[in-house]
Amino acid sequence: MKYSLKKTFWVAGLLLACVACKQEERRLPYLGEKKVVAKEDGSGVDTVYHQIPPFRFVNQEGQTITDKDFAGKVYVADFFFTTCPTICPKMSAEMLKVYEHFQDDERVLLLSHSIDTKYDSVPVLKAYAEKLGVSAPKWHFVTGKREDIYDIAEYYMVTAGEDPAAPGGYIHSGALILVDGQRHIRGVYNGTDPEDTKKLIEDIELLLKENASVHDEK
Amino acid sequence: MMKNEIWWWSLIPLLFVALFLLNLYVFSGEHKGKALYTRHCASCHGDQGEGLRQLIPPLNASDFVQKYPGRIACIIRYGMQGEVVVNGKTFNQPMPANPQLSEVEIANIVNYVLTAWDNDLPDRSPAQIKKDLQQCKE
Ligand code: HEC
Repeated sequence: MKYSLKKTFWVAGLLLACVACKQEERRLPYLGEKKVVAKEDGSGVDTVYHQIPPFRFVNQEGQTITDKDFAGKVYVADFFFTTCPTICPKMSAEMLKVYEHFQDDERVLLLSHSIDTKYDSVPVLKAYAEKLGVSAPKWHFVTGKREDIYDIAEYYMVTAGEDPAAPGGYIHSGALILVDGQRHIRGVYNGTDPEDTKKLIEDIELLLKENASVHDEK
Repeated sequence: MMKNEIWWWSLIPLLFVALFLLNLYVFSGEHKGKALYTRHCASCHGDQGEGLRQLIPPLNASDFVQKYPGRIACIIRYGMQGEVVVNGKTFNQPMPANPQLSEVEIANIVNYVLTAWDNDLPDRSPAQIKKDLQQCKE
């Protein structure tokens, strides 16, 4: 009897420890294609994760924005257009929750790419941001060369394209994409689902902790 | 044994009542209005008709809806453009047209909006909606 009680305590203790370690260890995955490459010094192999390539766009203030502005930050990206008749306002509403939650935390940024580069000029984007009550440098609304926007959408693993048959003339995904300070994709969320936004906010917190520890190691 | 069977039979009228009520709900305009609203309007105006900042005006407790219930049908069919003031705030962002919606569908949405959330405005009859649509400006 005594023995089995002791055993029970042991098992319970181990279980608890395991739950604790699990929680501490929850790390966001690296999404996208991984490549295994030989190290330059020939000492073994490295895993190279899918990465957003360098970019250069113009934001609602007419300023040039590049990947350097996002280096070391955590950011949420999406693709939209201001005259979108379907899901965009909902996506903007969800992005707005992230914006408000991290308003005073300069480690978190937002990046909305317009896929209607013809209509969404700098002043149009500026007016849109003002109506939403948000501003750069926290939330950049960017435009650029049409091909550049569509090319980078592929790296963010979202669909974007012109389609005369679609409402508003464009098809695009409603995804919000979470990117870490090294431009790796760490999460994809449904930008029309408030539950998913809660998860996104939790995941950003997690990523911020991870980012902090990466900096400590260096 | 006998007693058991009688007990079962007595459930049948109850089942009919339940089916009838379900029927009423499924085929009522209100239910359809809500489904149509969710599909065609909620992504912009919000599930609770709350709107979005200065970008999209609210439909819940909107003084515009209160003042011009007869214009909602036209706005749904032809969209809306230019400045509009709702509850003291100015909005100016095009709302797209919905040419695919039938007169009955429009009537269901209008009546849903008029009575949903905190709104408690009188219903518009099918005849009124028909007239509303004939008098659209665009
Ligand atoms: C793409 C976004 C969008 C969708 C979808 C949309 N609206 Fe609108 N709606 C707007 C905008 C923006 C305005 C303001 C128009 C303006 O500035 O002239 C507006 C204005 C209105 C107004 C008058 C102002 C007010 O808020 O009282 C009504 C009524 C209205 N919409 C009802 C609807 C209904 C009903 C539907 C669904 C059939 C719908 N809208 C779908 C964006 C939208």
